Amino acid sequence: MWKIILQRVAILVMMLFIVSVAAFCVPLLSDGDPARTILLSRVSDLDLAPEAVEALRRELGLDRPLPVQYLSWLGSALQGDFGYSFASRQPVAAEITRALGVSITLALSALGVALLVALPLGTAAAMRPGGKVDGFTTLLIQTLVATPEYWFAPVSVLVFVLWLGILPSAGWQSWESLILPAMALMLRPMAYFTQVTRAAMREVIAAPYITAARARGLSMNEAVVHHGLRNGSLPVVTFFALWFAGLLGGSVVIEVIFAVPGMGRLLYEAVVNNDVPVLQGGFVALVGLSILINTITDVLYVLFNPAMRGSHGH
Amino acid sequence: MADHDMTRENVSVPLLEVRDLRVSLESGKTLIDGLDLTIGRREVVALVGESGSGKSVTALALSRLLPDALRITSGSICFEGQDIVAKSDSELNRMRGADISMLFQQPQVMLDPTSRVQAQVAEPLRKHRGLGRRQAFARVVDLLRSVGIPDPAVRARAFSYQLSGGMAQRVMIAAAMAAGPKLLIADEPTTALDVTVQAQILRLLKEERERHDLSILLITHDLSIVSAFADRVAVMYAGRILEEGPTREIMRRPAHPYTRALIRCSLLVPESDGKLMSIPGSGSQALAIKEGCRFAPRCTLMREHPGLRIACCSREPGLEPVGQRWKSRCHATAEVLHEGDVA
Repeated sequence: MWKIILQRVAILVMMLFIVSVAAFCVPLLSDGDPARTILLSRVSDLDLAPEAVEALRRELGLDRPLPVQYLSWLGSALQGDFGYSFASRQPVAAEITRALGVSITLALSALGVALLVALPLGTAAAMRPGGKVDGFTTLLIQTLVATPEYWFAPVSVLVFVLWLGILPSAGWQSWESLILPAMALMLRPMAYFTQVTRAAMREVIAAPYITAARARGLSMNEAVVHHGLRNGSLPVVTFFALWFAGLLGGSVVIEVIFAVPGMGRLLYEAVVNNDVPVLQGGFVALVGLSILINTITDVLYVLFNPAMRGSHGH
Repeated sequence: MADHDMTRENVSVPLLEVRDLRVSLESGKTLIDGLDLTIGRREVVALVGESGSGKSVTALALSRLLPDALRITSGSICFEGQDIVAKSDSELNRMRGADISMLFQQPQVMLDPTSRVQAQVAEPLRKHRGLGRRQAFARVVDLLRSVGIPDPAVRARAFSYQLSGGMAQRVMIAAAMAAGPKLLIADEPTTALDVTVQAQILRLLKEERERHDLSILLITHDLSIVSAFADRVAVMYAGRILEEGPTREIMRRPAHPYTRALIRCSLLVPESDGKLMSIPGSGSQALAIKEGCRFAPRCTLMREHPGLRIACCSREPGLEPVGQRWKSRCHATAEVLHEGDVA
């Protein structure tokens, strides 16, 4: 058990190193000159004196060889210092922490509600294939998948903000601000979670150990509760983790529409402004978190499925 | 007086009496076609046949655990005089594991991989005997010991991946016997196990039978375990019983050409031509035969006696008495018996 966890953590550290190199190289891909960009944002004078640009480049250490730059960047990054945003002149670490907090809250609310609906619905549909619940579920899944969030978001604003006037339209002030973006975000994950739950439970219900449990006198419902749910939840856990990692930086559309100060919007604006430190820090944070979530999922897998402990040896 | 009558009735009514059982696919194809089977108290009956003959479907039908695609379309399964076919779901839940228990072919996949041995063995005790969690778990250790599992307290907390096939089948036996059933339906319980383990498991089943006055329906394709284990044997082919009777007589001198061929195949001794015996063709097409004997296309006896051909291919023989509690479904029973001992 501990051996597996240590193994996973070692992989995690190695991956993070690779990510840090990649993150450092991101700005090199664009041909914008960071020193120019910074000066532009400060003086908004298109005719920059080349000496001034050169001076700032030296000041920022951008004239040093790349490996040296990387090591100094990595050294600071390891201490949680990703430099200052060119645009806002705030520490990048603080900006990312704030934005990540918002995105995690949003993603977990959306995925949590999606899961709360999907698990019972998918299981109920699987218990009676072709039945009423199953038919309703299929219809719901298709509707949810076919509803684009950039359509749903404005429509929900129209209904709940403009007509009913019960929810705030945008921003991030109270828990009510969370409702509309979370609703828009949960559509597709809810559909996929339901589908995965249904498929997993169909398989589990047909499993030999369910027949054996029923031969001991358990009703179908008891057999599914005692022996089906844990086996059936493995694929759902995987799916949840994938979506969670994806939503952290991937809910750009929703964050922009609802003016939610999350990671998606932070990175979107950093790209627009060529804000290199924010891009680097955000990249490391997002990819690092994805890897961390994957590691946690792997460990959860082992916890859920005792046979995995055996296959990795004691 | 009333008590006396009851006892006498209990003795005269067999434990399980299957009459004209039919099981069909939803599409209409019939898999079990008019099965008759009787199991007395403390009796071990072996149901033998090739794969695809309907043995496993029979096992699931008897405990009403058929998958959704299969239906019992007619017939009755009387257990202690009560028809299982007519029982409601909740009545069936009370019956399974309490009156009728089951064993299956691959014990390891019959155990929930995420649940400990004790939780699964305790289920019949908690469901049918009303024991609490702690009492049931304590009883599980005794049960595991009684089926010959070493370190029962440790094994009780094991998961299925930590058990060998033989150990897993012992666990399944402990769970099956937990609530003291009267009938055990064992569907190929030793087929997936090593030969040495097979013998141990069969010995254990014999012990359980003595200890608990148990009746056993042993479903197998392995004739070598039939003589050592079963009081009576029923031979199944294409959803029907072809021969049924006392094991000793049938294994020595069967009254049906199919039984005779099966036994000769299982002996693995060379025939007069020096080759091993095999039955030409396969039984899987036989379900589609509407007229005549279902075994006729593969029957060597019919080929050797051309005079039989018309009868065998136009009219299906009934299950006719051959001797004491011995029946066979063949137009030429006399000719088969005339061939003498099988080995």
